[in-house]
Amino acid sequence: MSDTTPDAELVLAGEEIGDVPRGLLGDAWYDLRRSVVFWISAVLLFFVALMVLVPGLLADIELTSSLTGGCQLSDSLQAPSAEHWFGTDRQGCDVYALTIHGARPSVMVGVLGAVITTAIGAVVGLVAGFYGGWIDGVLSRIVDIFYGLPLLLGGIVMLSALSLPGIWGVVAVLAVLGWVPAARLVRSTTIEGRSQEYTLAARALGAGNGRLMFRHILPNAIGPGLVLAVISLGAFVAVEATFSFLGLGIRPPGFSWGTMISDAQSVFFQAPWTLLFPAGFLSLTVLAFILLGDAARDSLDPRRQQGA
Amino acid sequence: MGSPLLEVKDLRVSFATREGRVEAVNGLSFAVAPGRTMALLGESGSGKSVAAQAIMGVLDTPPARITAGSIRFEGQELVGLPEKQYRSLRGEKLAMIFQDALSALNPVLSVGTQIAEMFRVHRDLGRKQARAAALEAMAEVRIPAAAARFDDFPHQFSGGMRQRIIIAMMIALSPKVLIADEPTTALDVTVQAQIMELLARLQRELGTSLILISHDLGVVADVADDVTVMYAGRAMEQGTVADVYRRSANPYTRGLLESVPSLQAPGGRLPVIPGRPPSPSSTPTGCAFHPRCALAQQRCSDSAPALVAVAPEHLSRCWFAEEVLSGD
Amino acid sequence: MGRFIVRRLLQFIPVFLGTTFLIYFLVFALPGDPIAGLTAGKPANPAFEAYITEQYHLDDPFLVQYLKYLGGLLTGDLGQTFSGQSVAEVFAERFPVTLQLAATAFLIEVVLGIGLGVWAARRRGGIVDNLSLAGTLIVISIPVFVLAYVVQYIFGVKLGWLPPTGIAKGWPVSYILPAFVLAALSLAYVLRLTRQSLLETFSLDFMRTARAKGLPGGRILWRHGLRNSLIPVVTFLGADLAALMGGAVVIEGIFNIPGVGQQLYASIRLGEAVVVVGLVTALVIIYLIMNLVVDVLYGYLDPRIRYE
Ligand SMILES: Nc1ncnc2c1ncn2[C@@H]1O[C@H](COP(=O)(O)OP(=O)(O)OP(=O)(O)O)[C@@H](O)[C@H]1O
Ligand SMILES: [Mg+2]
Repeated sequence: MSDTTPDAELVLAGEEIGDVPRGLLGDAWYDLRRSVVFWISAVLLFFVALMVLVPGLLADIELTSSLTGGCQLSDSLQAPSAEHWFGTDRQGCDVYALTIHGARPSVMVGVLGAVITTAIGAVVGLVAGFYGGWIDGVLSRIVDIFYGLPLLLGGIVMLSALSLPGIWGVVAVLAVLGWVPAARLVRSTTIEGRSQEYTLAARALGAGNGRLMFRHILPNAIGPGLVLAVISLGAFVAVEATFSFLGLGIRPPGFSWGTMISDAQSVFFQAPWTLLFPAGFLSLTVLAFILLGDAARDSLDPRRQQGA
Repeated sequence: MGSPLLEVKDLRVSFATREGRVEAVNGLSFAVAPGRTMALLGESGSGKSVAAQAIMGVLDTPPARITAGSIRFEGQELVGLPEKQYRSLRGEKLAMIFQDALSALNPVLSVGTQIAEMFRVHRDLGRKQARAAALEAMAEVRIPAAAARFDDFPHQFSGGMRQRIIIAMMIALSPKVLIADEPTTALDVTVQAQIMELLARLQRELGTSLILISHDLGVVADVADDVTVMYAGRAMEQGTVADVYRRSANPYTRGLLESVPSLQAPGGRLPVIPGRPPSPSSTPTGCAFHPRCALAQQRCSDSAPALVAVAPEHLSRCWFAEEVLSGD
Repeated sequence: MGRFIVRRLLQFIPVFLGTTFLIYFLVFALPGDPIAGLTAGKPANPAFEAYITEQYHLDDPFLVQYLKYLGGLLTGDLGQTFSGQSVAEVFAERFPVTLQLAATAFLIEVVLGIGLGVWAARRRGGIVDNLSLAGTLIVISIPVFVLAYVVQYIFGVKLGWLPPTGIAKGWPVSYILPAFVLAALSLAYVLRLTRQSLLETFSLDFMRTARAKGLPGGRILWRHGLRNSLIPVVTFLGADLAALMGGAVVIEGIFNIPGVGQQLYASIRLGEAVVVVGLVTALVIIYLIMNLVVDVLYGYLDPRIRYE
């Protein structure tokens, strides 16, 4: 050991550090595959993916619109039957077809929201945590301010003043107001990682800021960040539904699970299927993401891996 | 040794883990006479803390379980004692000081409250009287300006002061047996000496028996009357400090003694015991120490030696105890 | 403690300014025509446009606009409704109802959430533990407005145990159903958080000290264990006030509770954006103030924060 050069040691250390997250993710994957919760969520998510990617295979898009003659007012509010598995809504549209085709906007909001908020949060958190000092001070105050404006209330204001087409209004709300938890998480793991001994060692051996950030510090945040992203994905799907329910999200002729539930409220007592099917699909989708996040968290938890 | 105050016999403690049950304490016996100090000496993981917690009855059950053996205090069996009776002994007759004083104190309660609690719970004192009694205990362990610091919180004290607070709390009711689990490992050297002095003084004044857990052979030589050397959850050697340090009859004890700088001729490389202590999930067959022992023979891996007397009140667990003893 | 409170008050000022600025910014400085947004595409009405321009000082430079708006806020001017009523008056009239609803919900989530959480943690793996884990998962997955309809239908309409809408029967009878639905999601989080936090606390060293001191089980749990475990729960409760405010919009709308939320719900649907912005601003201010109270409580629970 005494005759290894500092360079060789750096390489060695680098390899070992590179292995830490990879090893952790590898272990996590091993744990995940043995988790029942993970498989339940995987099966649910498989069906969600089908509905989002190839809804046409499952139901005819024409059945969702009166313009194409798919809906007949004479069929209004029919109970589930062999012809209409989930019944029909007030306009006489097939609830099954609407539910299948309503998945895409809801899930898209979740996916886009999760990607955007995680990216913004990661940048803000990384910069604040890594540089510290006044940069951290300023960024943290900004985070506090955004934290002071709750997502739902802030979104109501934004969407009342702003009219963006389709899902983009809700995505904009999430981008502006939804990144705070991710920023806080990444900031705290960065601060933790910055003071870890291997980071200090790498710094002492002359590793640059960029290398430190991306090779030594960011990998630590990947696990918890992934968990947060998956769980917020589920939550954002519900947020889309809530805004659409309030009439602030997707507007006609577009539709999503949220607008379907909103339309169904006035006829809920006489035709509960109009509400229960989209609501059920929505809930199962949210559940699937939460379960996936839970399973990932458990398998990423180093304390669990030691078999305490 | 007089009649023992506390007697541990063939104690076995096991933990439920992912790999099944593992034995952390594996047939430990020792006795402590009134007013004497017994040191439990051994490498990390040898089961010292687990044994101490078993005596106090504060093991987390599950995963821990006392699977066999007996712990007698003043003739009363503690293993299986109903919680209510056990509780009235803790703090009152049996007390314990922990390794890490910061984490052993509740961060959200003032130190005074935590000490006074002893009097409120065990002595039914009112708030005022308990406070007065706690202040007395704080003065006893030499905490400066006790009255002013009564309402301060643990994070506002230095490491040494925190340990004094725990000591004040634990000697508050003059227990008969005090277990100190590595009370000074987390402290720097000068403070270590002060704390050991404090413990020794309190022990003299109160006539308490002390069970001192340590891996510092120097501290043990200074403070203890008797020593139990532990390895893999068992006693390897037992006797007075003089017997064990000067006339050791066990290769493990000898290895430990030889690895201490001050006891060694200056200059040469310090001999260390090769290898690592076994983990409880993979204890070797036969004598647990044999893979690391220079004297090991076939016999040592085949069957486990018993703890036998090599002299009056001097016991060793080794097939070659007599040879080691006379090898001086 | 006094210094701690003063410090928190001082920190509150920039957050207050920042958050109100953010609201104003989101409404008036985003790309697009704020007047078109605020009138929600209704046919242009010159009188109303003039009113908006005047109320929000749209002819001034942006920063001046904000300062005038802030001056209005501080003197209790939140703008006017279409019919000329002061928004501040509407708020003052309706807020007591919302407060009653939110307080009831808060009580439910604190008492049941912490109570069941403690029970689940003490009997880990027992019936209560497993039931509450499954139950909370379901509640977390179902969007609140779906839960509202289901609960309203089952307990209000089918079983007829409690009034399904309105507050004619007064507190508590009329408030029980909506408060439960409003509390449900947060209750689930409080329960899980309390349970997990308590389990973590159980494994800490000072809990062993408490046992070694010979303290009775009740004292160990409530005095030594719970107080430490409540720290993350209180953090959550502070943030959760926002969820209650936002949830009130949906719940009051569905259960027809004449509070601020119901007015918001109606105004959103009518496109009365001035009212929406005014009411949301008022709710956010209330939220910020309550958060301040929670912060102080936090300092009481955790001395390490207080002396920081
Ligand atoms: N909760 C637990 N679950 C499983 N095994 C445990 C647990 N607690 C302790 N052990 C095992 O029991 C053995 C003895 O531990 P113990 O803490 O008594 O060692 P020690 O002699 O006090 O060491 P140290 O000097 O490091 O304090 C260890 O090998 C440990 O692996
Ligand atoms: Mg120990």
